[in-house]
Amino acid sequence: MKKWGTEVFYSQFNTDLGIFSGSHIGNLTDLNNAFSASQPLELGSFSYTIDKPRQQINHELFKVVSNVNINSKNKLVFQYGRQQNLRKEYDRHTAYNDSIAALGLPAFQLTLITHSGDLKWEHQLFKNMKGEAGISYQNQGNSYQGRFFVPNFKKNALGIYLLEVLKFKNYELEAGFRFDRTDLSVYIYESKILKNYLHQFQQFSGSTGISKTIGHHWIAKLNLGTAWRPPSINELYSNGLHHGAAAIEIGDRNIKQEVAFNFQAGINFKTKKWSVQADVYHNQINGFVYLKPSLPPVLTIKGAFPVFRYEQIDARFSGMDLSVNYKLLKSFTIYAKGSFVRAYNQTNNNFMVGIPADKLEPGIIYSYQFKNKHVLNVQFSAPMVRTQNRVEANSDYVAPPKGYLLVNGQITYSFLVKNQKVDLSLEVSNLTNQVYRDYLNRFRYFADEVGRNVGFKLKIPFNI
Amino acid sequence: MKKLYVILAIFSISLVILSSCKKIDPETPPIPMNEGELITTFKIVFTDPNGINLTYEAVFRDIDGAGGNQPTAFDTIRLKPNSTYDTSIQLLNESVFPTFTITNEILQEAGDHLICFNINGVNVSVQRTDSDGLFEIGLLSTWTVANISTGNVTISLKHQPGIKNGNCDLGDSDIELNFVTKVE
Repeated sequence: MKKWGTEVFYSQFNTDLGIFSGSHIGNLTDLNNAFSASQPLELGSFSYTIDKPRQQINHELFKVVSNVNINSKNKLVFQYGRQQNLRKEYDRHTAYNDSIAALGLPAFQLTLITHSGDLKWEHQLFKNMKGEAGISYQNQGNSYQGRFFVPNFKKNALGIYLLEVLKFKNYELEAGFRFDRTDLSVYIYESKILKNYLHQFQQFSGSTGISKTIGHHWIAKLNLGTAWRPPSINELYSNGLHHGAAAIEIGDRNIKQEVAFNFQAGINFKTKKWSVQADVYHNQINGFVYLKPSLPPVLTIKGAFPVFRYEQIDARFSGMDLSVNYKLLKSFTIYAKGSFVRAYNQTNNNFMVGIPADKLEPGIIYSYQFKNKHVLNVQFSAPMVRTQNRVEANSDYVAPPKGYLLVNGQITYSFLVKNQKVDLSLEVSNLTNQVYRDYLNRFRYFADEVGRNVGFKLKIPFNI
Repeated sequence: MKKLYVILAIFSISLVILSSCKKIDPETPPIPMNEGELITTFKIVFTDPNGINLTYEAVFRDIDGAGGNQPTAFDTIRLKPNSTYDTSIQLLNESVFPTFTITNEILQEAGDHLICFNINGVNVSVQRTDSDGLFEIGLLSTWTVANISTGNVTISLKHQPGIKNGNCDLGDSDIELNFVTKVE
């Protein structure tokens, strides 16, 4: 057995993207004008140059991975990575001040540099039991130039974990725990004075699970665990106009970590004809962070804007995910998949905004193989979404949209041309041209979703 | 087992060395430079060319920009019936010292800007009186006032780089203020 192995990896990704100038939202009137126009108000002219507004992105990743095989039961893996993400945003709207505009600088630039180190010990302490223990460390620095977007910060995160998996007979037992600590240091100008704020988050978390294979057809699973995450920089510090969403978003720097206690149970059932997967869960989340509409809209020099605030509450989520496949005939399969969740805000004893509505999607697949090995595939599905009526009363700018039923279809014909596979397909989404709005889409306040969309696709997969 | 500890030690040392070399420093963010770009104050001054009615000023002022504290002034436009006013619009940034006059920058780029007036329910008509050479600008205008009424006048500044054709639908709205307007 080889003792040592080291891999060095480097990659770079560069892109210069033009942005559709009609999509920049100055204010709500501009947005409404754009939505109600039958064609974009600015048609522009043809050119190969990428003009403002545009976005320049550069990602760089350097990685070293080393493996040490100590013996057949112990292995060490070390990984160091350095990632640099650079983003330059050029607004169409250059500075009013000519001397600033002449510099041609981006409206703002973000530089995010992440160093990460991971040390992992894969081991087998006993027969039938495999495990992994590790330390991971991350150091991240974010700097901006130009217009303020999110504040500069330095982040140090350390995690220590142990995970063991035990197999005996038809059972598989899993247990793990982890300790994490994140230190966030934020540098922000307030009334022209540079301030430094420190945020510390630390948390133990653990999980345990058991799964059992029953006979040839059944697998049952049960999981109990805790999980957590520290708040993100925008949840803590955003404060201002979000041009992509035509809204003012306000963070709260008193937000603490989000801690979840999760319970999950599931069954899998598989035979020649049936394939069923059902999971139920109950999650208690203390300090759940979500973006809540904050009425009334705020008045600015650009007109009134809706306001959203990050709010932290205790909440519970119970739900079910379901997927059933049944082979009706040799070439016919019917299926259904669905997801249902019930959420409750325990801090205010009320429902919450932004919880997905119940969704059920039945479908049918017809598949036929011709004698010459050509394959015809026809698929229809009908996603059904209910109205979300479990919301806090009068807490949103517009009430949740009505439920809807869509019909989607797809016909694919696959054939071989001199051993080369070719797929021809015709796809139609929203076949009935249903007018509907999606509750989770922020633009539902202003516009309907896309109507009937017909696509024709030619796919030639090949290997080099 | 001893070997394992040695390897562990080497890795943890190299981890510390690698993570301590950094090039840019988040501890020194740039001094907010776009403050000169903030429009905090919109002022429209009404003067009677015949000298009969008193000069009237309507102001919108929000020193800290969008969000944060509420605007500190949003005046009602009050005009006398059956009269004519010459108006001029001033755009200021009062969050810096000395106050920065953005109107001058707009005049320099007059070919990219248009001020629009949308009148609703009040007996007033507005005619822009300045020009960028091709199209009107709207920083100066004449308001003709008829009989007593109450309504709104929405005044907006449109930024239309390279696309200005006199049409108010084009471009981004840099300003949109809906002034309650009373002829009394």
